[in-house]
Amino acid sequence: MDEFLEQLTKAIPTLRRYAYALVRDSSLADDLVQDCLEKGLAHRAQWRGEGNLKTWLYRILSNIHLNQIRADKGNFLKTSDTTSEAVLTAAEAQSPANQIDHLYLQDLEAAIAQLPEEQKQILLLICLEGFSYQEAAKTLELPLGTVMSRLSRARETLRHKTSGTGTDEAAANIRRIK
Amino acid sequence: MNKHKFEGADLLHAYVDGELTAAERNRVEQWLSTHPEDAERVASWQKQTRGLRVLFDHKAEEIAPPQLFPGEPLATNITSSSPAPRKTSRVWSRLAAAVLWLTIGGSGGWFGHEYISNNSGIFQVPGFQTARTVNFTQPALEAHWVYTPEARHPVEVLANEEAHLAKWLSNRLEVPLTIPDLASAGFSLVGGRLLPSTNGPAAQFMYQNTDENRVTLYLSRQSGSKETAFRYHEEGTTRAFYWYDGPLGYALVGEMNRQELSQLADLVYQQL
Repeated sequence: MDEFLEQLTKAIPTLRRYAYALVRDSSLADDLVQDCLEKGLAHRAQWRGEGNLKTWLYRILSNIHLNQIRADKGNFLKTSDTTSEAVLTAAEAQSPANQIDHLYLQDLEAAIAQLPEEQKQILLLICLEGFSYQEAAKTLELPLGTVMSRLSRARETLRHKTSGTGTDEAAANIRRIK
Repeated sequence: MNKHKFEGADLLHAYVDGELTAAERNRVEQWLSTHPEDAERVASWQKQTRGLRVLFDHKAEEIAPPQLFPGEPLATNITSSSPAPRKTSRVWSRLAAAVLWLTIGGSGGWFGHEYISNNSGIFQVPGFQTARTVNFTQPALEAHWVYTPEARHPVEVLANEEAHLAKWLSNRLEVPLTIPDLASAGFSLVGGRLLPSTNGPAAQFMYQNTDENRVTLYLSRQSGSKETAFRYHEEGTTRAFYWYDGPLGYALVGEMNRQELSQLADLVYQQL
């Protein structure tokens, strides 16, 4: 079996998650994944089995995403679909002990949508895709310091924009830490 | 763990993201216990991470459109295609058409090859037998791809109603069916379902092991089939053994190495 295709296929579900979180529109997200896979396949010779294919695919997808944003700056200002009520309700039901409420999720999602794309990518790679700082830096071909500062800015923006809904949780966590 | 030394607020981020050594972690936790503002920030960041997962994790568990999965033949096809147009439906119908054409073409060629080698070079027109076999593995693979990723509704009838399942599907396929027991190989029955096929009703049984690796056994009526040896087919990471026995065609489909799948197929075959 072709190792390249095997790894590529394995990466599809999480690439779709990443793409969806970036654009929050299912068909745009699948277009992104599709473009990424086509590009990956077309340039498979460049991969040569070196390094992690997953990182490489995330890099391709991130670059396509940034290029698209830059290309249609004008009409991208339309807000993407917000997560449907059904998804939010289902998500809420699954979250442990309802610690994360509906309003917080709505605020969080809206705040993510407004982040600069470069910060959004870093945040999603690290917090959603579970990349280490090193992996994120390698994926986006950035120095570690830049990764850290973008992550920090993204997190603080989100914190301020969701601050109305986060206090109980924060207090609970302080107690836990003690 | 990590050679990088974090300082100041970076240390707090690194704490949240599990990038610290145990010693560093302890130090941060001590700091947080006496600095409520920082503790609040850290808690808020941790909540963001959980929120992100709640918002978006479902997407990774969703069934990806099968067109996204590039089989080997498709892969070579894609490289020569033009840059993707922006319309989703167009890309996918194009790719779907390519997959369909190539799998039919591919398996036709493959069957042809086997036919010729089995007949020591005597050339005969394969006739209906080839046409029939071409139609048989593909639906088994497709049913496997559609239902095995399902978390909530992988089957119509669960294993706790095994007797009913066997009886129901036997009635529908008009052949007495036994549901093979794969426990000795570590696979337990999840359940089964009725499926449509070009030869009337077909059945799928699903099994999984403790790693939640799933295999499916697909059965459909094959008119005029003879008993055959196992045949092997693979597409992407999915492998299948299929054979004919009596009125039925069987396909065992899974994502595991050929050796393991072949042992499971033996186990199935012995119980039929």
